Amino acid sequence: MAKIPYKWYKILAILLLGYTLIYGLLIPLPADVGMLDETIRNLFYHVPMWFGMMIILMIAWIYSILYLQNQNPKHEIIARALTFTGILMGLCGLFTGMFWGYNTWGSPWTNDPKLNGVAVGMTMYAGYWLIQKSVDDGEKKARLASVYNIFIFPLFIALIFVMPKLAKFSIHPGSGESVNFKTYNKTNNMEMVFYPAIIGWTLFFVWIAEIRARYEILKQRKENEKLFA
Amino acid sequence: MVDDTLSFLLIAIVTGGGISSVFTISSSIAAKTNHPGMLLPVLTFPLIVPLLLIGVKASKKATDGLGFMTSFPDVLILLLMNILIVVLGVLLVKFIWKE
Amino acid sequence: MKNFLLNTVIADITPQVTESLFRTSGKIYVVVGILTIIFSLITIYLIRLDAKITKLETASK
Repeated sequence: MAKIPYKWYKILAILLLGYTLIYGLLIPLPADVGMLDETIRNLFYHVPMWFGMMIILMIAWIYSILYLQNQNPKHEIIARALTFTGILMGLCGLFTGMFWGYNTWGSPWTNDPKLNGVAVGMTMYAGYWLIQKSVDDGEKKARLASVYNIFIFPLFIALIFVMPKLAKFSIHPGSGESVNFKTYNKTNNMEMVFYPAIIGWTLFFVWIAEIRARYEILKQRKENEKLFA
Repeated sequence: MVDDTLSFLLIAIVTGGGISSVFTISSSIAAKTNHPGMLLPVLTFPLIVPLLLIGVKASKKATDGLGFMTSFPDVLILLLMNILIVVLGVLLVKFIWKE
Repeated sequence: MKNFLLNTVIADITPQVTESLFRTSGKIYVVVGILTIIFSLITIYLIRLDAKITKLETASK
């Protein structure tokens, strides 16, 4: 079934996100964040989008593999719901990143390996969406989309993790020889919000994906009933 | 002209192999859809971008004659990506062509 | 040594300086309140959506 039998993960998501939203804005900051200033608080809202996207796309990848193994249509529906939620998270990360970059770097888009890698990765997943749209037969659509999903996820990982590491310099934190979390003052307590933020956002979007998957399964069941009635 | 012909050839072969294996898989996917001609470039372009970027960087080093050791990591990554793509392709192609 | 001590002292007091700049007006609490309202409404919406789907699922079984 698509419904996750544990209610507590939704409660945990709400609690962690509430904590993140409130305490993330009120937490005292380390002094050495440079030009980022107060915008370093975006660490609790922009960065978890990418972490959550990676986690959700990975679960979707596993469900695609499961679908090809045992041909259970429910697995494909779950994989599709998770992938679209992952794309939504990626778009959230992209737009928040553009807004953040516009206010700190001075332009919404810099020619940076990390940014370009993510843009290309989003194009890959746009291809996944196009496959869904351009095949009529349900079983064939599920098969082709699963194959494409299994195929692109490792390349996507290579694109956004390996490529920025290869680059000599990147303006974006967390790649090449630029700044990252560890360079900031050790006395800061931002990590106390950062990790709950990742878990909270991820669980929240998993919840959204769950609702979507359950809706799609219900729709499928209705159509089958109509077919055999 | 190309200073380091041997490593240039090696990079060209590895990059070309990767691109052709990506095209093999994605064109077989696109062939099964309703609009193969339209979907093929859309599906393939983002997949060959990482290969092209690394290949272009490595062959620039080869044409400048910086020696094989400078482009060795790039060749290694290209080879690994080739292996990944070919393994995935061999495993997945039977699901694409199943009717 | 003296320089090092001075630096640590500066590093210790600077957070409070930026923080007081951030909070002197006390208006940040308004933003926090608004975010809390929006988030709780979205959460209530999601919970209701979840309940509706659960109802449909039990009905169609």
